[in-house]
Amino acid sequence: MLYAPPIARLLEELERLPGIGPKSAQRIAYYILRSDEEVAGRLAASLLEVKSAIHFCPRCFDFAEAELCEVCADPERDTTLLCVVEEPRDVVAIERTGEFRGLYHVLGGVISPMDGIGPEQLRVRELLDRVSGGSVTEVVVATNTTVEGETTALYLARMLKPLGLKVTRIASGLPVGGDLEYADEVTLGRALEARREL
Amino acid sequence: MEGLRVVSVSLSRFRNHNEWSSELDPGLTVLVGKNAAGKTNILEAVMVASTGTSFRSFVWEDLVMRGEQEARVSIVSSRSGAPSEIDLRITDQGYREYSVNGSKKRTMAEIVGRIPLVSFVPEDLSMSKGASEKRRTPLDALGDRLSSAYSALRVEYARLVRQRNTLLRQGAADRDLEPWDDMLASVGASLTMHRIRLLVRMKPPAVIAYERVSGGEALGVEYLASWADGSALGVEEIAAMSRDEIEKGIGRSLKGARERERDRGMTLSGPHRDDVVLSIQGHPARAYASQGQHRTVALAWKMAEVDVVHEVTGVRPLLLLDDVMSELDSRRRAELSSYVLEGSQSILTTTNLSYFTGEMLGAATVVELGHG
Ligand SMILES: [Zn+2]
Repeated sequence: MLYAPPIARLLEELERLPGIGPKSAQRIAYYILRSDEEVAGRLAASLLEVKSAIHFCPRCFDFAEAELCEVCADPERDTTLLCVVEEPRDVVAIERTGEFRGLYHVLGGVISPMDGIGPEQLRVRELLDRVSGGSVTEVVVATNTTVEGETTALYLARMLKPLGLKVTRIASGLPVGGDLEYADEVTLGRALEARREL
Repeated sequence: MEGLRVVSVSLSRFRNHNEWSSELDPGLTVLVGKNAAGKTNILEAVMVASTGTSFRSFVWEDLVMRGEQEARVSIVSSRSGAPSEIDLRITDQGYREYSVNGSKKRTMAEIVGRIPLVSFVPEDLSMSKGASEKRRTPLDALGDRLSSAYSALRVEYARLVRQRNTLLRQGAADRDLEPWDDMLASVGASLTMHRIRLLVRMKPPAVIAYERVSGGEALGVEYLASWADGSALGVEEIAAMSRDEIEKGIGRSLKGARERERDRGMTLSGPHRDDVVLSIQGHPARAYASQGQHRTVALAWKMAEVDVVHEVTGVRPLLLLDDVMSELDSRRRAELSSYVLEGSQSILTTTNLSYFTGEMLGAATVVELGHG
């Protein structure tokens, strides 16, 4: 089917988004076309706003609006405890449990040679800089329980332990091959409580 | 009859079948037709819908009839009187959706085990010949169908090997390889434990069936672990090892072979390089067995599978027999026939009804297939 060029452009942009196929793109585009101008305006404004207002927190590499992210800026957090996660969405999942009072470090992925991702492509160097000579005494590795997440945890343990740190892994109360993102809050809370030493 | 009964099967737009459906005999259903009639495709549809796997390798989108958008397979069964219907929908993009009694299922674990089955196809007849992969595959395929932990471990392990091989080919430093070695040893040890547990179950019924079908010959089953200095170990010997010992064994072997592995760009030890060693009267089957002995091994192995599936799932599995009668001599055919009639529900394909005795055909439902 041939679309008018503005619609075709919108569809093209939508289909670039993760998880959006041609059918979903079409559904979203039609929804926007049928909606008031105000709806489209709000959507466009929020897209631009998020890009200009949000940046990576220079300490933990989570998303931040102010100079530091909310967690790093909170003086009440336990600075001896550091939780390493893959992505910013994992911080959200763990924060939701209310079980963790320490700080975070977002790696930005996991080691995966097939995808060309080694420690250099992740924020591993930054992690090592952060923990050496700092107040951190325990690092909780909360990467996903995938093959790559587990191996990344082992890699980090090998790097961190010689620095005299206690390195723990969240207990695998998570299903095999499970994503942290999909774990329910109770499971995740329990997994954090029952972490084991690596 | 106790246990499981498959009542009917219907396919639409599946491979060469536009619309096909049939009720199944509680005992034996014989599908008879010419070579291109699509008999094997029907067995494949039953297997794919009940297990997500097939006795031959396939690509999902190829299961959809050429030029059509989606294929469907539906299997109505009853287990101890309770009816249930599995529906499988496959699109020409290879997307598939399973539902049971109308409600969608998200994981294969919710499907596998509803209709336990054992397939027997001509390719199985050479399991004791050729590469080690041929002997591991039937065992792993059975494990996949019996336990979702087994299949999850196999998927994880295969991924680990691919990741590690990528690193080896890049000539990665020890520091980068070591965490993968540890993971491979750990997941590899779990997979080995699962495999050995299954082999411990398979061995006794396979030995008994082989003795019966061969008229008194002894079948030997051993496990050649790639990480245990190249000597075949008794199945019982490995079964007595702890997970920790196996993990250490694999770890040591990986460390020792590192340079050779870098040269070849591949992981040389671990369960993907292990072998199931079969012997007859003390001689390795691979090198010494006659054509007839190879077929007897295959037949005995399948009979053992039926016993093990029965034991694990609590029901006698459905048997899918694809054109194997023509490959067996009259003695083995008679063994298989009496076994089939002993109480399993079976679907059997053939091009020629003359392979069957009058007694067998009398008890069976014969379904003729036209030209697709
Ligand atoms: Zn921060």
